[in-house]
Amino acid sequence: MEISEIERFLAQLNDKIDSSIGNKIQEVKTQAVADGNEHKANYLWCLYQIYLVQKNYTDAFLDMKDKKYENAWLKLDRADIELSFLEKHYNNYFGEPIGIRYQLSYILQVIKRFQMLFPYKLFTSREAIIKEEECSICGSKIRLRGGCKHKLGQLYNGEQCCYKVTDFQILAVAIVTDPFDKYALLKIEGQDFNYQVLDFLMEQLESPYQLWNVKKIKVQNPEYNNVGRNDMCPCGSGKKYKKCCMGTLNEKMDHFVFDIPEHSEK
Amino acid sequence: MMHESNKEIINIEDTAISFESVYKEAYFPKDLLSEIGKANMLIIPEHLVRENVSEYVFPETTREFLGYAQEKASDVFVPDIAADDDSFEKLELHSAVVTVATFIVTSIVLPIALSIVANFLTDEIKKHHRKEGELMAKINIIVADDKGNKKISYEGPADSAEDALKLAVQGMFTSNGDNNGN
Repeated sequence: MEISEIERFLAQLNDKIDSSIGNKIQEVKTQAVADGNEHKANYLWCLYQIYLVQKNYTDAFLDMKDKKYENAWLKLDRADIELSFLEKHYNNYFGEPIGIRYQLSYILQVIKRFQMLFPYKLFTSREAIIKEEECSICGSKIRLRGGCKHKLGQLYNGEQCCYKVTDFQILAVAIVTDPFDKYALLKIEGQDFNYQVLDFLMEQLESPYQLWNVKKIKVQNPEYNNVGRNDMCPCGSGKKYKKCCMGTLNEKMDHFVFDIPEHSEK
Repeated sequence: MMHESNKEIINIEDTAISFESVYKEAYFPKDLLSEIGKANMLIIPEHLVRENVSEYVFPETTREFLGYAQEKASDVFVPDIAADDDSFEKLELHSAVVTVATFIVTSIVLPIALSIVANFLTDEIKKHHRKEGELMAKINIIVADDKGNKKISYEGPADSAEDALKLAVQGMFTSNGDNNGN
């Protein structure tokens, strides 16, 4: 496949992306670097990012169809991260902000919708002191004053400048509800998550680009139905219901209302 | 240590921290005083004390924040950081809270500093694909003025920070200034 064919391919709605697409882009980029064509190399870096976003998203969709939800979660987050790397440069090389072309804005929106439906609530997040970093482009130690001229996040000959941590000290591992990257799930040994909501949705979806939407609302938790004011609170606090959860958000639970065109609202 | 935040708080209090007191701190690179001493916006570290750890650290986005400030540098606005290469260490927390590096700034250039904070937070919100209200920020600013130095602390939604800080600094140094950010 030539690059122009790859560009046309990625602009279509593809249910599956073969890794040979990415390999070809990398091959042409390597040649552009060898030819000293930095602009082309950087453009191909962007194209490769588009490939990564689409591949991770479509692979995640296939995983969800197969009920491999943990694998899907990691790929959805990866697609989100790769898109965040691309956003800074996309307009420079494609002449427009990220939008409909290559399905990128759709993918970003739908990733957030899918993530909302997963039952994962707790994650681990490291606390660490970063003592030393080096530039991924030239290997120089990152300095406050002086140092190399490479800027974090910028493209140089088809590579994005990152800071590689070369010396750090782990202080602790925290349990958090909303980390920046969401790879480190907390699970209880011997128990599995309830994926009913995703199971329901994935039965309705046939393609990763099928249109759907969801809204989250609060409804009464059935455990709190017909509880008398002076009854023990269902939450297990040992207090009376009227002194505990009555009239609070604690007696509500999340409920998802789906809108899937070609189906009635469910 | 709590580093997830879902509340909105703004507080203004008197502080003894000044440019001169910063120059005397243990973390300050004395051999760079002639250079850093010119700054009227100076990023300073926090003292992290844990079991077996006592370090002066900066938030993980400090370099980026300093970059934003340096883009605005001019004859009247001189940003810098109270650290050298050997002493600069970052505290990485990985939670959805952006901790803006603490800085001391003269009241005259405070408006410039506030716009830098606002631009920085706007880009952080976009970078992390968060909606309004989803990304929280922690900001500490020490304002140096002849009438006495004040410390402004903000903790809350990143997209509300600019308005909250601008409201808080109004009349901060008048004789009737309210120290509760109201």
